[in-house]
Amino acid sequence: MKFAYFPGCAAGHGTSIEYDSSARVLAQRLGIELIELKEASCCGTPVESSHGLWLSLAVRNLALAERQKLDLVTVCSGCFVTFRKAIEEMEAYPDLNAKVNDILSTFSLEYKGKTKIRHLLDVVVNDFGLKALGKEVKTPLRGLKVAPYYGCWLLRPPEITKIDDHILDGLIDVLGAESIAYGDRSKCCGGPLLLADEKAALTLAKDRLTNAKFDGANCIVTACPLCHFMLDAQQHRIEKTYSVKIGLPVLHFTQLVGLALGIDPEHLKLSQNCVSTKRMLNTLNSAATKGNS
Amino acid sequence: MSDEKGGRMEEERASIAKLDPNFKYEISQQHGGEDIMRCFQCGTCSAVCPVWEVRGGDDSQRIIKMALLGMRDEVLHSDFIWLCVPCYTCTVRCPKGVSFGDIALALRNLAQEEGIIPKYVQAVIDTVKKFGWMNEFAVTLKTKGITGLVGQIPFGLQLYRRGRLKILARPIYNVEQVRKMFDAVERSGI
Repeated sequence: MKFAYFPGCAAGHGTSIEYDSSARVLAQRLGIELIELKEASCCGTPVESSHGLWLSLAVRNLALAERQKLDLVTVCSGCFVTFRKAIEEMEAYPDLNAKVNDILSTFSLEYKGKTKIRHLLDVVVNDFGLKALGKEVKTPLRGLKVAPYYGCWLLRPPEITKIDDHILDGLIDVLGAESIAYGDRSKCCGGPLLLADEKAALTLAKDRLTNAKFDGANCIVTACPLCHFMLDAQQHRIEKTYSVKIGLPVLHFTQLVGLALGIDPEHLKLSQNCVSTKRMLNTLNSAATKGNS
Repeated sequence: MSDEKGGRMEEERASIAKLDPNFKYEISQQHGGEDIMRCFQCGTCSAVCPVWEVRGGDDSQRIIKMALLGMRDEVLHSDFIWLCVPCYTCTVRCPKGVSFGDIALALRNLAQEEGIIPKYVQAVIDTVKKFGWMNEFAVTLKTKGITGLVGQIPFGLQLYRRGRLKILARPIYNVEQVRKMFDAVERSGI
């Protein structure tokens, strides 16, 4: 399992640095080789309203990976769906394909359609495999009631993303935690709306959080840095603005898997999550002690 | 159109003289707009739209109706086309295979061709061109200015303390290539 690694802007440039760190640690542990793409740029999602720019940015990154004869793997659902859409478009429209490759040729780059895009969650669950993962679990996550939060772009449009819509539920089971029936599982977190309408965005995030709590979760797992940002980094602000108490730790799936595999929480950068994971870790420790006695 | 709070204002009746019957064909020529004329106004898209759920005001069903009627100016100047995530919830529910998410993106492209572009969208484009990546700090500074940034300080601090906020961020390696590509795309008209 060797891929060109595309963390994206949030994970790769600081705001979700803990996602990137835990992804690298997990990948190393599972024998998934991640190769840096030194010249990788933004995937294009933020400028999707300018179609030509969006497509060129996406395809240039694909071309960089293709030059190394590797598929691309990302931890961001936004990047993931953009690359999938761009690949489809390059396949479906030969004229557009020629124009984009014409521009890329001035940089000695070309995208022939060989490089594909994978989401790391999919690679872990399907390439490494759930059965194999189960065998690697050292500290089953007993005591955790995890709301599997898929967000929008991991699952929709389904003919583009082609991700099993119970992938997180299955993963949580294998890790020994309880996966709760979370009604808002793939309802929007509001992230992409932050700049356009901050109030609407925060209301969406608030609803995702309060509903997770209502559905019985004591933590949430995400597969997208923007979803994580809205539920974790914005949680205190949401509590203040809406006068609600939430107190739900939000983990990147890489952190959740890492914990179950017995990786030190510090290596998974749990202390960089905004909502404290201390109580959650204590729950895990006491559940583990009970299990051993 | 929606007012600041997202409610619908009193509007003048659409005048046939101002309608552009070609608009729906124009939209169907855009990437993502191909299926707009299949819409039969059932309203399912609006019913499942998370943005409309929290904002009220304009919705996808209405925007499509206006587009099909030929209200080109109103549609291209609407706020709603910039508020679509796109989350594609409507897309998977539409009984006719219409994707408002993609139509919204197509409408944004058309709007930009007329020079209609929200400030923050221009800020994002400029930032990605300058840095090669989406530097949120720079975008917030460009959009809200220093005074606007002050309000974000408590929020920013919790990120900064955790090593998650880069204030003096740098462009990507070989950002020149990305900048040249931006120019080339503009020249090519794709």
